[in-house]
Amino acid sequence: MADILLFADTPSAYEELACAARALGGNPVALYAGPRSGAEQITGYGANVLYFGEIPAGAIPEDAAVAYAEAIKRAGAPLVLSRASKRDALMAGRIGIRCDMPVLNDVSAVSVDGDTVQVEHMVFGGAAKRTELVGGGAIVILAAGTFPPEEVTAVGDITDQPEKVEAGPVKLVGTEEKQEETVDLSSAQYVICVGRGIGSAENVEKAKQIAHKLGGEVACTRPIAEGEGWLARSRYLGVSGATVKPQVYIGIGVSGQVQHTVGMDDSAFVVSINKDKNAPLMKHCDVGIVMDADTALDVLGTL
Amino acid sequence: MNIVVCYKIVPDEQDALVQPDRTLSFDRAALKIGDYDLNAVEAGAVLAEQTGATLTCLTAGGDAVEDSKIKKAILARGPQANVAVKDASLTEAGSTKTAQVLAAAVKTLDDVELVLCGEGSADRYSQQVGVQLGELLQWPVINAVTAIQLDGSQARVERTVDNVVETLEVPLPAVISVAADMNVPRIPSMKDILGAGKKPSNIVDFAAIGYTDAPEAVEVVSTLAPEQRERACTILEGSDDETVAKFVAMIREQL
Repeated sequence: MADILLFADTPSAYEELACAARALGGNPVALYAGPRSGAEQITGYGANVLYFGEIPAGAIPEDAAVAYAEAIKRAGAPLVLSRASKRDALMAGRIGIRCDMPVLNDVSAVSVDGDTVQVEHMVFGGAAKRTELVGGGAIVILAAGTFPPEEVTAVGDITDQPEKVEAGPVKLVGTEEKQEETVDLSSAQYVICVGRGIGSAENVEKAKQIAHKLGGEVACTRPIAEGEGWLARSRYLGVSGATVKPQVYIGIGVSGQVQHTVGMDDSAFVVSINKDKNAPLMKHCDVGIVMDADTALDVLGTL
Repeated sequence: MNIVVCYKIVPDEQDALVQPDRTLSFDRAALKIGDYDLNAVEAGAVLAEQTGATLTCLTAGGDAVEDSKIKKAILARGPQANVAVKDASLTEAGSTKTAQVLAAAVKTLDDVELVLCGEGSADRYSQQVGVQLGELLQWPVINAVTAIQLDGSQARVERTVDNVVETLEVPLPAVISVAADMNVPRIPSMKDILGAGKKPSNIVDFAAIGYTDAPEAVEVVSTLAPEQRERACTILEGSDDETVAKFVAMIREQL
């Protein structure tokens, strides 16, 4: 069984990666720098850990890329798995150049056939899915949920590595927790999603109350979170945002651009409420009604 | 001091037509500047105004780099000059090749202290070009940046990762990829657009930047529209009691 190397920015993220490595017929080997307790945690996912020690003060976690790249070269630049996050994207790019390996990001399906790796990922803002082939080594960044976690009985071991993490030129001078809420919408059974057509912050609040009454969550399109700031960024759906697969999705004033719909396409039942009969979501819904947001909120309030 | 901002010209995916075999046709698609690149251009324009630096925009692409409308659109947003590396192979080039070409082009420009990139390209969104460009230049590189202040020989930046805002000191020269929510890109005025037509634009080939083309590691097998889920698409019109009752009943059935 060939080794598949893994890296991520938090110990818990290695669980999914270790499962992915096994599902691909490989032996999971985790590259890890941080507290030793983190390395021990990763061994519990059935992965052997190549341990690079602590991350020194003033360094950023991504400074580990230099040490990881050395270990990847030593291993003969095989298949390397990571997961979709800002930190891992930075690490992957730096390692990719250092090891002369291509980086395939946001991969939603991967298969290995001998030396050849085949991946699928979205392109054109979700308008298409692209299939790509790489012969030889590659860094594959997996989208969340690509490989379901499974029960593990094996426990890996820890091997200390000769390289240590050294602080790079970028100096960390402070960190601050953001006050904005972070919410995980992926398990919500009912989602009320507001788009530009919602009209006002008051209406967003009403939509939120209705969602809560139904035992669900409120979500939004990107402009509502980033342009208007009416909801937290973790609530916007789409290609660069969250993905939901609820029993019922109700879009209010959501036009249905593909960048958004990739985040909700797997909903079991889609309701579209829009003033504009020709909005794209009206062609991708189970039921749609031509209606303004104010009326819609009154109607949904009766549910 | 010269600030360089990278951008990609892409077909507008909203104009893509799905063919019966699920491939996409961009024959009738308008060209646009990558949505996320506009944030980098805006960040560059603001920094250039603050510091008196010159701002140069840089792209790599095929024939699209000669589109006069796009050229005006980008130069109307603040850059003083445009540089475009043109080669037919660049339209479909992957992240690493694009980064290699941009790195070669940056090396031909004088006095570059900062290269800005967007969060990801509008077509591939692999979020890799900025990162790999920095590593190729062997300059400090950072992504997900939500605020930049230039302070002598360094940039003081805020970077937002999940729920944490980091403050970082990045020595210059450096490559910085900005997050899409960093700013709201300006809408150029008619005067800006007219003025843009007079700004210099330099189109160069691989030889001029000293880049030697090589085959890419990644082979594209297919690009297909996802299979659409079959949905009933029952569309109701009217807000009379009967229609509304029918609508509510249809939702209730699913709850």
